This record gives sequence, structure tokens and C-alpha cells, in this order.
Amino acid sequence: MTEPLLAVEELAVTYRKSWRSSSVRAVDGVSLGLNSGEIVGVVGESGSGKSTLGRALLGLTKSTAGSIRFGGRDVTHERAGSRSSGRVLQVVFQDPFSSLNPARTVGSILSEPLEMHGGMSADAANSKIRELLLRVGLPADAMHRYPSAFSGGQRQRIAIARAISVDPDLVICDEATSALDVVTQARMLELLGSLSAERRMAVLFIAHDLAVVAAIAHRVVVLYQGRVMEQGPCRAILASPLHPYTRALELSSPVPDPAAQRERRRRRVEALAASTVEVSQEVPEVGCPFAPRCPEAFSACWTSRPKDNAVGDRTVACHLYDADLAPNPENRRNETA
Amino acid sequence: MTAQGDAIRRAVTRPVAAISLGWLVVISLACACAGWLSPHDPLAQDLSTTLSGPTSEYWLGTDDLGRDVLSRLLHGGSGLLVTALIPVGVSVLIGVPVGLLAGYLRGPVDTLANFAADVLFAMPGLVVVLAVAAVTDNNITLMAIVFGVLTSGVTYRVARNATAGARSMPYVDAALVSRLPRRRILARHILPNLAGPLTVQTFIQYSGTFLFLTSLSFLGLGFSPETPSWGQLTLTAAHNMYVNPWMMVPVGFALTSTVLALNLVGFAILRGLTGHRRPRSAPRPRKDRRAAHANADASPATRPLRLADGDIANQSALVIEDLQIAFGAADEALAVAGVSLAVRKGEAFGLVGESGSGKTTTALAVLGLVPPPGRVLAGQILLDGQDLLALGESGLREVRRHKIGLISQEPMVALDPCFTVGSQLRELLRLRRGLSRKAASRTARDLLREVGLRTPDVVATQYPHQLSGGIAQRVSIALALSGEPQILVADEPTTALDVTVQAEILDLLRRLQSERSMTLLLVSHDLGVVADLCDRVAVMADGRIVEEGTTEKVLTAPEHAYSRQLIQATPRLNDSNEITSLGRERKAT
Repeated sequence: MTEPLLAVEELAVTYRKSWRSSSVRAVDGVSLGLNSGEIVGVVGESGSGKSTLGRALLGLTKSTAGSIRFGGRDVTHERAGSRSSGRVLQVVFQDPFSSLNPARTVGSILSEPLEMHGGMSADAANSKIRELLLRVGLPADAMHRYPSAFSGGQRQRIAIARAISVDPDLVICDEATSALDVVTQARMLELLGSLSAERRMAVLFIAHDLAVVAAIAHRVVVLYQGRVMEQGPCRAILASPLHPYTRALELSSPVPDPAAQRERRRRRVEALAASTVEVSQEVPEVGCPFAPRCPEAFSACWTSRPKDNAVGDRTVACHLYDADLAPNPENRRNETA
Repeated sequence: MTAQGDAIRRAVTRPVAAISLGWLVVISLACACAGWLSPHDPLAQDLSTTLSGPTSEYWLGTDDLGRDVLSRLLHGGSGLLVTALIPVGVSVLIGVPVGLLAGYLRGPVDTLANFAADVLFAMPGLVVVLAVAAVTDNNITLMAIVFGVLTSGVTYRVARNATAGARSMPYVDAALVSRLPRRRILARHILPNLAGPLTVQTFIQYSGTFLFLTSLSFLGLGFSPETPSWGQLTLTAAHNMYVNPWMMVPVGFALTSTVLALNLVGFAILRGLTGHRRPRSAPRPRKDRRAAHANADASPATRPLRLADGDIANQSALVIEDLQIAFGAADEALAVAGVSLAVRKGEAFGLVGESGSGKTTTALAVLGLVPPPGRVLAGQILLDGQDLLALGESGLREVRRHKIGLISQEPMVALDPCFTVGSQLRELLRLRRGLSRKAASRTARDLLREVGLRTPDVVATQYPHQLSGGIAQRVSIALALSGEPQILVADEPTTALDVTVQAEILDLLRRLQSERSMTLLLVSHDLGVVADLCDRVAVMADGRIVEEGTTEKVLTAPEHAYSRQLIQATPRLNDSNEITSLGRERKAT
């Protein structure tokens, strides 16, 4: 098998707020892979380290351990720009307002990546920009206007146009649709999906909303406190989430249908009866970060870090799926439904 | 041009700033052309008319040696205006590059530069300049340069902070990812952000320098005694204060008006940049509404009275009728354009829509909290038959205290960061329920327990910043309940929370609503949240309600095309093909 486009091994990012305080592990041993044309969703709540992971992959934040290979090259210690020297990496940020320089026209914003990748004549660049704007569904005369003339959704289209202008192999979307209204978000997801399909462009789609990730991703990585809880094919994970955290996430996400939502609520209350309001215990230093909130936690969860257990075609970092540790073999959910 | 350029242009064309700028231009031109303009030789003495007032010969009078004050002012001004540029230029030349580097690179460079700036701040400027004057035999250029170095710390700070702010903008990150070289990022994305603050700083520093140089020549330093200078004129005027008080008038006016004009222009630019402009003169809300009411009474056809009449009003906790709210000028579209709805007692009513649909404005109008410059143009809001819009501020305060509770999107905003949770809650309980100190603290504990906090005593001693988002929202719900309201208005209460926490807060709201048989008005953009909590729902778009009905009906069999679109666009977990199928459908049509 050929090497994936992006291979991340045991990546860690540690912060230190001041020289005295202990360090915070924002990303803690994350491994994941991404093939060309594949859309992988990274889902996690606030503080899960999903945005830090994105910034570390882009080279905007230094990683403290682990390795990142992009297009077959080790880019772990390269700065943001030079990561794109072989295969091309691009980004779409969350906030459509601060991600476009208000003092520059749309045309000049879009030509920025172009001028750095391959010298292009002004005419060629102009027609390329026109083509890009039409592709993302904006009129070609938008290039002469400033970002302030556009709505949030349109600005995000401009940000996507900037990202795809250099035919990137991988686009990292950090909460790219979170600031948008649902109808605009749906169109944006559709646009990203079709762009990825037609250009064989890989997308790492970072979001806090499992339902949004489910709408676009082929595979899902579930992050919690900087660690991967579960990863695998999107459909399988949604059909039967294995990790207790994934289950909590899945059942907590409300659906716009009162009858179905009542049913989900019932299931959630059943499954997570013991969920705690105040975190009564500190997150264990060595054990599983989800243990204090986990309805199925047992003693090993507090004393040893769960390893990535392979279950079918996914991995689950939970002791329940560890043959040596699971307390009760009958309780073990080894088969994927 | 850029928005920043526009803002500056708008700011300096306002009357005060325009007059100041005009004055600066006039005085600079006059001083520059002193050779042609001045009626006399500034050094020519006329000992027959010393210390005279204004005459036809000497328009602004003469000094103690009979020299023309106007000519001396014009000649002295040119030297002063030009020399004052030197320190400003020096401090820009030092402060800006160092500030750019420190703000962009951060780390040790930043620390070192900050330390250097601190050292400069600690130096006594006047003493150092006096020392330079002594050593260099009163060399004004050198003194100005040294003064520029001493004040470069301020320019550095301004440049460094503007750079650091721009450095963390996502568009700079995007440029980094696009391999844009550093010097181009600095020139293209960061320098423009410095232009505004630096312009302001330069104006302020220029006027400061102007005064400093005048003070020096007042002390007899700097400008050589032979050449006229404003400081020397001030000194002469001060010496002869009792003989000829007139002389102080032209000299003092020239000096203060110029410094004042410089400061006013700098301040106008600052205001243009930070947007501290006075709000456009919107008519005061209450007056405006009465006028609208009068209009409505005159033409009853424009005012449907379908809801307030009959039984609906009796069953309803809250009736909103033909509510109209505007933010901009009269010809702009209304933010709320004739909303009518009735919320029954004890029900949970959802108001859904996208951003800008007017849902939050409608809900805030119920509390009389429409943010300015918004104003209610017409309509009625009946709470138990009482028209809230007819109440004054004190009546509204009473309603907010006892009848309506508000839960906002940002729980942290609802909590005062300076006080503990317990003291805020006790304060409200004593105010709203008239409880004694002891009873208040008991009730506070009960309320915190009621909103699902298992350790109310611990939470009560904590400050808001110590709480997680979910607990903060529970506390703000407890605060909203302190007046035992009949209606709870919840404005996107879970939007800022994680989904797992959101589900818990929704459970809590559902339980409180049934236990206290409270009416709930929920504003949300999330149809899933509405499906979870609400009995009935109204869908809003462009300030109007497009569809209203039971949640079951609106969400599963929507009649309006917009509701259908909204429901289809909402990503859901039980069917991951929803969105792509929407895309296909859109393309097909």
C-alpha cells in the first residue's frame, strides 16, 4: 500500500501559560492518516484540541512531539509556508470576517497564493480568479470589491476560492461552517464535497458538531481533551458508536423532529444516567481523560491509559474493548452492529 | 479606499476637526511665507514705540524693544514648526521598525525591546535635554534628536501593539500558509494596520514636542537668542505683564490655538479609527412610538386586533401584536416588520430563524431591552393583559424584576465578574423577594440545587471566571429564577455550549418549566433544540413570521417553502445523505 497523503504519528502540542505553571497538553498523542480525495472529519468539544491540531498540521503552532509526514516528506519541523513545497496545503478558517484582509480587494486576496505558486502573468491570474469566483458561486466582478461588501457566507466562499486557487492536495477546514446559518452551511458543505470529488482534494474538516461532520466526511476522528477516542468510517461510527464518549456525543446532538428527538432523549437518559454536572474528580494524569464523566468507568480507567484497540475497521481508545482489562466479558461490545 | 481611510476622512471632515485642520494649514502657510507676509523686519527695533498695543503700524503691537510682534510670531513659528518635526521623525524612525520586529517575532526580541522602552520611559526627558544643551553649546538640532530618541518608546509601544494585534489575524495565518515571504506579509497585511494608530500618535507627539520646544526657549535654551521664537515672546510678554498685558494675547493665542488644533485633529482621527462616534441622531424611542400609535389609531385598518380580543388573550401569558421595530433610517427595512404571536400559559414557545431574521430583537422587545439605535415603531406587547410598551422605565423594571426572567446566550455576560455567585444571587433575592439576609442565603442554596448543582455551597463561593460554561449557564438560570417569573425568555441559551452540556441544560429547562408551570419563550437558530423543548414554534424570516404551529406539524409537515428549506438544510445524524441530496435537488430545479 502506498503512503497516505498525510500521516500523523503520536503528535503532541504542549502549552505553558507562564514559566511557573505546569504545561497543558492541548494535543496528546494523536495519530491519523488521510488519503488523496478523502474527507476526514475531526470532531470534538471546546478544549478538545481540535483547532490546535489543525494549526499544528499547518505549521502555525510548533508540535512538541511526534511526527507529521505530508506527501511523503517529514514536515514536522518545517514552518507554515515550506510545508507546501512538494504537495500543496491550504486552509479555510472559521471566521469569515477576520480571515480576509479588509483593506484588500477580493481579486488581490485571491491572487496572493497564486503569485507564490508558479509565476503567472497578470492576465492569466485574472482569468484564473474569474474562473475561481464562478466556481464557488460568486459573480466575476466580485474581484474588484472589498470583503466588506459581502455577507458571511459569501466571504467564506471567497476564503474557499483562495484555498483552492493553487490546486491544493489538502485543505484544512477549521470550523469552516460554524459561523454560518444552516442554509448557507448546507451549500458550503455541498461545495466542499463536490470540489473534493472533482479535484481529488483531501479535506480535514474540523468541527464541533457531529451532525455537520457526518454530512461531509468519509471518516471521523473523535477527539476529547487532546486524545483520539475513536476513529473509523463515518457510517459505522454513527450507526454504532463504541466509545462511551462518542455515544454521549451522538445521543446529545438534537434532531429537528420532535418524535425522533423524544426517542433519542429517552435513550440518552438511559445510557448516561450517571453523567456528572460538576467535574467532581480531576482528570486522571495517567488514565482515561473521559473517566470522570464516563457512566461505564471502572478502576483501570483511572490508573492506565487506554490503548487504541482495533475493533473491525476502527480504533477505540477505551478499556471496554481491551480483552485483558474489560471487567466483564459479556459487557464487552466487540461486534459492530 | 480602505474602511480605515474612509473612517479617518469622515472623522476629519467633521466641523471641529475641519476647522482645526484649516487653522493648522493657515498657520503653517503663514509661517512658511513669513519672509513675504511679515510687515516688518522681525529684528528691526523701533525704540520710540516699545510695548505698544495694536496700532495701524504694528497690527499686533510691539515688544519691549519696539519690534513688531506679528512679524516675530510669523518668523518664530516657522523655526518651531520645522524643528518640532525632528523629534517626531526620529521617534518614528526608531519606534516603528523596532515595534514591527518585536510585535511580529515576539519572544526574546519582544522582551528586549520592551525592556529598552521601559528604560526610556524611566529617563527624565527635560534633565537629559538640558544636559545635552550644556554639553553641545545649545545645539537645537542635537537636542531635538535626543528628545526624539527619548520619546521613541511611546511610538514603539503603539507600533508593537498594532503589529501584535494584526499578527494574530487569521488572514496573516492564511498568508503564511500560502508561503508569502515575511517582508511581504509585513508590508501588505501588517503595515496598513499601523497607519491609523501611528497617525494619531504622531499628531499627539507633535503637539507635545511643540510645547516642549517652546518651554525650552522660554528658559532661554534651544533657539538662539537672536532669532525670534514663541518661547522668547512668551517670556517677554510674561516679564512685561504689568506694563503691557496686551502682548500676552496674540502670543498666547498663537500657541494655545495651534496646540489645541493639533490635539483636536489627532483626537478626531482616533475617534474615526475606534468608531467612538456619536450615534446618528435617532429620535428618542418612546416619543417615536407614541407618534406611531397615534397614526395607528387614526387608521384602524392597519392594525389587526385579532389576538387581543376574545379568549386567546385570557389563555395567553404573552401576546405580541403587530410589533414593528426599526434600527436604521425610516426608509430602511424594518428589523421586525409586524410580528403577532400568542404564547399560551405554561407552554414552551420557540422562535426560530436565521441570523438577522429579527427573532432576538422580538424577544428583547418583550423585556423592553431593544438595543439602541433600535426603536419600537408600532405594536403592542401584552403580558397578562398589561401593555408593556405603554410602561415607563420604572414600570418595566418592575416587570423585569418579578414577571419575566432572561437567560442570554453568553452566561458569562449575565454574571458580574467582581462578585461571587452566592453574593450575586443573594443580592437579587433580597431585592426581588424582600428576603432577610439569612432567608436569602438559604433560598440561594435551594435555587442552586434546583438548577442541578450538586454542591451549591462550593459554587456559591466561586467567582464567574472559575465556572465552566455549563455551570455558568445553570447559575444564570438560577439568577433568572430569583424573581419567580411567570415567563422565562431564553435567547439562544445553549448556543455557546458543547452538545453534551447543551443536552443537560435543555433537560433542566424542561424540568423547571414543568415543575414551576412556567411559560418559556425560546429563541434559537437550532431546529433540533426547538424540537427537543418546544410545544409550539414560529419560524421567522426577514422580520416576519412565515409559519406558526405545533412543533410536530411545523417540523414534520412544514407548509411554507422557507421552513422546508430550513429543515432540509439542518444536518441530522440519522440520515447522513441529507445534505448531498439537498444539493442535488437544488441543482435539478
